[in-house]
Amino acid sequence: MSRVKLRVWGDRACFTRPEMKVERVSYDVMTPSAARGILEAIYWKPEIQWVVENIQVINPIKFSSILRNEISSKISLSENRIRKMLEEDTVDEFYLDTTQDRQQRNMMYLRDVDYVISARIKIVGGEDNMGKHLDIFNRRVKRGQTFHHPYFGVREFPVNFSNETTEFDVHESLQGEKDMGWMLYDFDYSTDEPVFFRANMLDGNIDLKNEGLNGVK
Amino acid sequence: MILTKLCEHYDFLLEKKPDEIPSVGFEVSNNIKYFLVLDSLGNLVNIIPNYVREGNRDVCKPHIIPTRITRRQHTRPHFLCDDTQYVLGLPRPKGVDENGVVSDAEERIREERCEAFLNLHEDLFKGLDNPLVNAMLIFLRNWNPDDFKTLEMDRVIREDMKNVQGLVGFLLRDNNEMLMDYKEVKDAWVTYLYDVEWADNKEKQCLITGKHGKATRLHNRILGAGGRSTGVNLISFDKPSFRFQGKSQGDNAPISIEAMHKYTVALNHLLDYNNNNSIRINEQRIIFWARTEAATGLINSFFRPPDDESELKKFYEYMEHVSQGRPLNKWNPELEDSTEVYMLLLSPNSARLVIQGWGQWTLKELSERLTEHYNDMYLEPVPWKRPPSVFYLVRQTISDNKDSDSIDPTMTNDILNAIFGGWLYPNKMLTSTLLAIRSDRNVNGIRAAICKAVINRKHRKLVNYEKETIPMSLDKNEKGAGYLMGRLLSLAETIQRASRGSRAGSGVVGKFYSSASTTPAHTFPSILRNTQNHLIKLYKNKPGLAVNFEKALSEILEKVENFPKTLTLEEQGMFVVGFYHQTNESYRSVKRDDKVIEDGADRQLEPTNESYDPQ
Repeated sequence: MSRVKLRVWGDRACFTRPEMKVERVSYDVMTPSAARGILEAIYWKPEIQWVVENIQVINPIKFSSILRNEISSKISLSENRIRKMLEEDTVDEFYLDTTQDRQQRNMMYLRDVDYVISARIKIVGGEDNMGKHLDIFNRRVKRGQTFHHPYFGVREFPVNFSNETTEFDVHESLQGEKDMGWMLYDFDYSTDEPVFFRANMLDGNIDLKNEGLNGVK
Repeated sequence: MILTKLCEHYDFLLEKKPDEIPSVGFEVSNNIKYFLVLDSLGNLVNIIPNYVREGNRDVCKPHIIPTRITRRQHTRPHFLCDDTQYVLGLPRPKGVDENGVVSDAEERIREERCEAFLNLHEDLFKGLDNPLVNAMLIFLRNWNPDDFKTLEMDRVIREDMKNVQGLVGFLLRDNNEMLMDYKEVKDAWVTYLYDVEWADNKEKQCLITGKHGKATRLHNRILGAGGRSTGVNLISFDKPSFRFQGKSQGDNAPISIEAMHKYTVALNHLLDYNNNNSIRINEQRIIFWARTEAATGLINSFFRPPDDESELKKFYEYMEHVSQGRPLNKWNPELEDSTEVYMLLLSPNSARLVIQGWGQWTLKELSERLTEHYNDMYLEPVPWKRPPSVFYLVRQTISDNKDSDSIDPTMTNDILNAIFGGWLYPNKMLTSTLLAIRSDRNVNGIRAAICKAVINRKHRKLVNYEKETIPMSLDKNEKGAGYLMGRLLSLAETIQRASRGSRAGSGVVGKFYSSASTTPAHTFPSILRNTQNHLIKLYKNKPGLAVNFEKALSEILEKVENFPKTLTLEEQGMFVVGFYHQTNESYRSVKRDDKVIEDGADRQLEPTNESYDPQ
């Protein structure tokens, strides 16, 4: 029994589509990648990996949009830059003047989200003690302990979580079978490539047991 | 979902209108100004224009031509159609001085380009045997740019061509066919694209189709959405802060060449105002599509309500039908309950296209929501001849004194979401309307309807609200403080106008509206004192009228326990509705008695003559 369930909810969420990164548009539902991120914020060790198996959507899908000022460039971290900085003992050029660098960017995000994440732990190193990992996770959830506060896709949208995962009514707009199109499953960090899967939602339930990083299903 | 649905729409369009929709590797061009007419031996027999003059612009007939790939190098000819420098080797105007002498640099460039154009076609046409192809090759091989000076042609055409404006295509005289009419030419081009142009494109999993294939590096531009004049990008990664893990351009979001073509063509098609799929409100564009014409027509009539009496009648019948829960195809066999309708709200942001809203509903859901919206807004007497369009609604939320440019775009988005999604109207809608009224003192029917809609829907949808909802028509039993105050102010205004005998002057509303609607206890005592004076004056001239007014006044006043110190936002909304109801009541009941009342009372009942939508 390596499975856990976590109820997560919040006022806003943005699971950014890779193609709409600039003027952000969220996917309709949580991506497995974001679910993994939430779990890892609560508990993670190099010896374990989280595999998300199921996402249950409870609240209806509702979008809203907001316009914000952001910046357009990045502070360059090239070797030459840093070497120059060290040699000349100065940080003169190593800054970003946000007043000169404005970009207005729009974000289309989800409102009032509520999900139940079902996942399992995969032990990839260390001792084969599943019980220990599960205990730690459950204890941390009960206490609200996290390494950093979990978020819904972007840091500005924090997650509320609890282990109370059974009391819910799936909204009527989510009943039946809905095709959510191709969604980002996760990033394969060994090749730096995104992996996509065909998401099918049944009564608000997205089954991920057959998906994995090994490609198209 | 959005891109997937756009691609599906492309497939649908390609089936329905194959002549208007280009396939992968081709595009629609509005820029072909002239055709060079050749005979089958390759002689140039004529040059015919492909445009008409409309106003001060030349409008060219659109044609589907091979995609013109951005000229990143200096010399890069397009296939089949290009400007006169490439096709005929004419020098660009900037390389020619006043005496007509061409600079050396320009000479070199135009030779290079003319040469390149010929070479490209030699390459691509290898192995093809086709009358126009052969004619074109013969012509190009034998053509000398100096021949242009001696050619016989219209002076206008000559000037145009010398200016290297617009594109030039080829036409075969014998049968009036163009190169694009031949399948072998098109196939040759597509093969070239995949083998040469896109040879280096990486193979990735496309995030729209899920299939593996060549990913596109750049995305085609979208026209008709505002922003940059050459078109904006929906997907682009041109600034460093947009890129991810050092990836450049299209690698940041793998999309196949075919999918990119599909969604950009679909989007351009939907944004083209000739196609009746889009509405514009200031900078925002609302585009919508469905599989059937009838469904799109229905949505069109929601955004642009019909003027025609019979069309309007049909619209009301449709809503009646939906309210009774009957299937749509019983009312109009062309409409199916299950047809999927999609709507996208777009806005330009310099060189990019921003998605501000997206929705997808069945026609049944949409109809139910439209009807619900209409019922929420409905007031008696009806303040409009045709149901207010979204633009008109949004316009009412800002003061009449302001330009329609000051419409808040997020408001439009939230209102559309509320109408089509069935969610609560944004609170902003109520507060902005109230502020607008305070600013321009125009308490008209639409604004009253807006107040009623926001408040009623909130009461209906939020379960823990127990207060009663605002009545549709004048309700004499309603005891809500806001409502009564509104009625009182309206009556005071009517009485004042009657006693004064004219519409001149700012009147009670002009002077006191703001304070009466926010702090009644402070203002009404003095208003009522003045009203008494007006009544006294009225008794001298028209005692019958005065008696009626006195009766109406006491009927309201007896319900008022005490004047509230302030009115909440909701009560202010009810104030507006009460005002509207009472004004109409006065208009109706004294219509026959006194013409002056008519003039005064009907001042602000009809919507202004502003057009319902900007285009």
